[in-house]
Amino acid sequence: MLKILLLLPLLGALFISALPGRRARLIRQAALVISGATLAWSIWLASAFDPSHADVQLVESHSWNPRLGSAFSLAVDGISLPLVWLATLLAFIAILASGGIRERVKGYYLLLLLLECAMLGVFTARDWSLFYVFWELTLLPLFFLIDRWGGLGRQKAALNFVLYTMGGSVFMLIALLMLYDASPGHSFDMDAIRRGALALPETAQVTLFLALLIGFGVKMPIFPLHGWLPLTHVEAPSPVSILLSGILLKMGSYGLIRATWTLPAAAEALQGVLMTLAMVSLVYGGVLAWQQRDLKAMIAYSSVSHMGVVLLGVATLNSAGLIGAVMQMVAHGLVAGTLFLLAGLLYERTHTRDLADYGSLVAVMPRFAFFTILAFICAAGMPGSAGFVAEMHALVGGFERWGGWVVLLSLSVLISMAYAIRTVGRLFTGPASPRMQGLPDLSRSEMTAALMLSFGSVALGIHPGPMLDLIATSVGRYALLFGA
Amino acid sequence: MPFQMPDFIPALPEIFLLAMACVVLLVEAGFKPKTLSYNLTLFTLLGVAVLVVLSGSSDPYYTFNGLFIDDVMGDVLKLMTSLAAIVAVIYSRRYLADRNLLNGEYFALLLFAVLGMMVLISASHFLTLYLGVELLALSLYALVAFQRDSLRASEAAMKYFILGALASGLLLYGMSLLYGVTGSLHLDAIAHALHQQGGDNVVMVFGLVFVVAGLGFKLGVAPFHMWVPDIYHGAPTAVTLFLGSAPKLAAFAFVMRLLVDGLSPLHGDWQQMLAVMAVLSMAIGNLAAIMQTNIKRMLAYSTIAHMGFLLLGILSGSLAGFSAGMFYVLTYVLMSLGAFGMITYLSREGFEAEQLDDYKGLNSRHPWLAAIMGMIMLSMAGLPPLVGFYAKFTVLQALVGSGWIGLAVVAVLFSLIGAYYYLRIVKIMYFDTPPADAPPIQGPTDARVLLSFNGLAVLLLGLLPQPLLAVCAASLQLSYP
Repeated sequence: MLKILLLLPLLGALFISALPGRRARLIRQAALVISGATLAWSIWLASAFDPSHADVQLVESHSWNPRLGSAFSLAVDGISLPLVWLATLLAFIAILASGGIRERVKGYYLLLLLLECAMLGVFTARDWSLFYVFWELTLLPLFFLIDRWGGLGRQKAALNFVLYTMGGSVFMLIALLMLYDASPGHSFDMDAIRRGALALPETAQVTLFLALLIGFGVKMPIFPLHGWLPLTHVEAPSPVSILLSGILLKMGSYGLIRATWTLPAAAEALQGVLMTLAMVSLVYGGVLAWQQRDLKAMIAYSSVSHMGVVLLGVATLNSAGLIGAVMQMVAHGLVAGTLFLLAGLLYERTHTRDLADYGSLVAVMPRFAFFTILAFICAAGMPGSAGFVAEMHALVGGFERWGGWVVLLSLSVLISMAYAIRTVGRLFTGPASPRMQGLPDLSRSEMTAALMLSFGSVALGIHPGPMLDLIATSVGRYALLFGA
Repeated sequence: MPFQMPDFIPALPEIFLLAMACVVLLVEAGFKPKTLSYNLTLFTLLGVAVLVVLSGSSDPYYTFNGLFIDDVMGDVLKLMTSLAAIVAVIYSRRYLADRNLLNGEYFALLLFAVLGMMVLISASHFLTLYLGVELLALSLYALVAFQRDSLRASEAAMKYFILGALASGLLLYGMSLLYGVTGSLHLDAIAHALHQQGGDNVVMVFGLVFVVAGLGFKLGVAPFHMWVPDIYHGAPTAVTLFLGSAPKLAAFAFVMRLLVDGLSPLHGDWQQMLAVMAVLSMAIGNLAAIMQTNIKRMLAYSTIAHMGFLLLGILSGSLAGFSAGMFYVLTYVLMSLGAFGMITYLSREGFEAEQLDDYKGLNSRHPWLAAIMGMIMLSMAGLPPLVGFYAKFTVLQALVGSGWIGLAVVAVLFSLIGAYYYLRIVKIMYFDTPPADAPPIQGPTDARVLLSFNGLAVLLLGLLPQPLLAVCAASLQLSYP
């Protein structure tokens, strides 16, 4: 089942490479069909998945490089399945939103599908070496996508992004090799690695966890390691920004959750560090987002703040907090996807991202205004949105652990509300700018994309039960490790 | 002592190669068609490959009174050497023809160089070792200087010759010291004697230092790397292509024979020397490569860094480490052939495609070649799923496995710096606009097809590295039971 999930976009990319480059429309349609089929298949996975079962399911394992101790093994549990859905949905949306790409269409869609395959690989891998291969594999398409179709500073951004991420992942690689060395029977299988890791002395575990934290922290990003993020998000083409903030950041936090499971003693020892980093990311990201004039940079910094909620949830190491973390990954994926989608559409029409250039767009583009305001409300975590459910859980989990300190989380919610309202004000009220008259409102396919994402956010906010149950079952197994 | 007839069978490939090299030299004198010596060379190398496979034995086997060893590791390396030489010859045919260098002398020298490598690979005695090294080096000096009217090439050859002679001197001096301590030139006997005496002998360590220094020169690792960029840059690209590929296999065998076969009792000492050399090589190679504008020079510095990485595999001292080193060198030769093959392919009569600017917008001029070059560069940078990633991965695995974690961290950090300049080439090929006066790219079909296979092999071995890994591990297990 999962093999097909990975093969669909990969074969699709091969198929597109065989199409003639001039037939731009055909290529776009083919990419849409392929990513739509992948989305459908990922939803179909739910029928084979038993949500009452905590351990990984749909296991597939093939011998790959036994000499290196690595196997091609895939599986999902309640933590990775929502992320798989998120990834296939956002990949579909990103392709839907790529109508503005006019040059070298073939390469563009080919790389997007390759990226989708790599991302799905990260979330489904049950073997750390396979995980690492997919992790690094995402860099290649992204490097080309940003450097070729990005904004003015794209070359610097692409190189910056790739080297920053590789810089983090080399620490991850060394940590994984050391874990491999400690594992019984020398294997990269996640369960075998964990058995080996549990037998290590605590100082070694802490060192390994820190190395993994650097690798995952760059991607998430956690406060001191976020340097690549604003530049990359601003310069990347908007559909790629959707994937970057919607899914790529989640790869980091997903890896971190797996790391706490692999090295529970270290996670417990470093709980305070994680909490502090989370709080700093929360407030720092929020304040910086508040300061931005560039719309995309603002959304990018708000991602730092929102991923802080995820980190906080992970740091609590209890059931409610971890549920909050996973839920926040999904919620932020949907919201950041919507925001970057809309920001991209706006940029396509106005060719400016400076907040001061807009004004009273609500009269010109009412449909755009509706979705944007809805997205900002969801981003700020208003009740009725998925973000609220997530932040609520993180708050409860954090309160169980640290009591009053979580007031900082509320502070960051306040900050995010502040910049959301400020941005909405700048965009839709105030003096109407003469340059902004006569802009076309959202087209039908743009509406579809925005509607799907907003619907996801609101539906998960109003009826979070099934999703929470799905997450809670698997997270419960993790929380048990820490006696909560 | 009665004369005993040695067993010639294990040395059959070398004997055949020597005979054919002489034939190629003679044919040049008598016949006009230039392609005859080219075809004869290909036939010879192919014959050598076949003979290596046929004459191989699974257990280590000594002949010529213990001067010559035939083992599986040697056979694999010899096979790959001859295959690499075949590829190099095919890549360079048009380049040589354009520059009026396509003649029998060139190919005879090339065959003698291959002979030198094969003797080196099979050496089990200081004499054979030195014989192989010198035969290889002398042929290469002449090859570098082969373009007689090129000032740059002559200068490079001169530098190469002087530094090479110095290195040989160091090597010989070290060997003589070791002979003084152990009373033997035979690698096994030396290992035995050293083992008996223990490691606390000043003369012995002196000998080791000289030998390792000589080795460092031949490998081209820092701090003995000075000649590498100048020679790579100055030599005609076809020679650089050859120089940067097959001899690396011989260099690996050289290190294995000398340090593992001969001086393994001193491994505590040479491990530290190799560690220093490896770190320096990776630092100098990767940092200096960033500043280059000439792709041949850049690849020369990248070679220094790669050879440093190779040393990491060997110094870990375990069988897994040796096999990782062997995998590393085999894949490096594959990538190096591809990269220099591309430079050769893109060069035309009166034009060398050796500036980075010559690669601007290669993608819009010839997407397929750009894709191949891109794959090779990304593979050298060590990005999965290309084979360069697994080469680095296995070496690091072995390194961490023997507890050299600090070195592993240093290695990955330097390869991260390395990724920058490889990515820059990809960037130049894909995102820069080609010069307006760039002529269409055309080259011989055989070279283009082979380049395509070369590039695809980098990808395919990256997806499924298991067979080659198994070959390396099995050959070392059989050679070091």
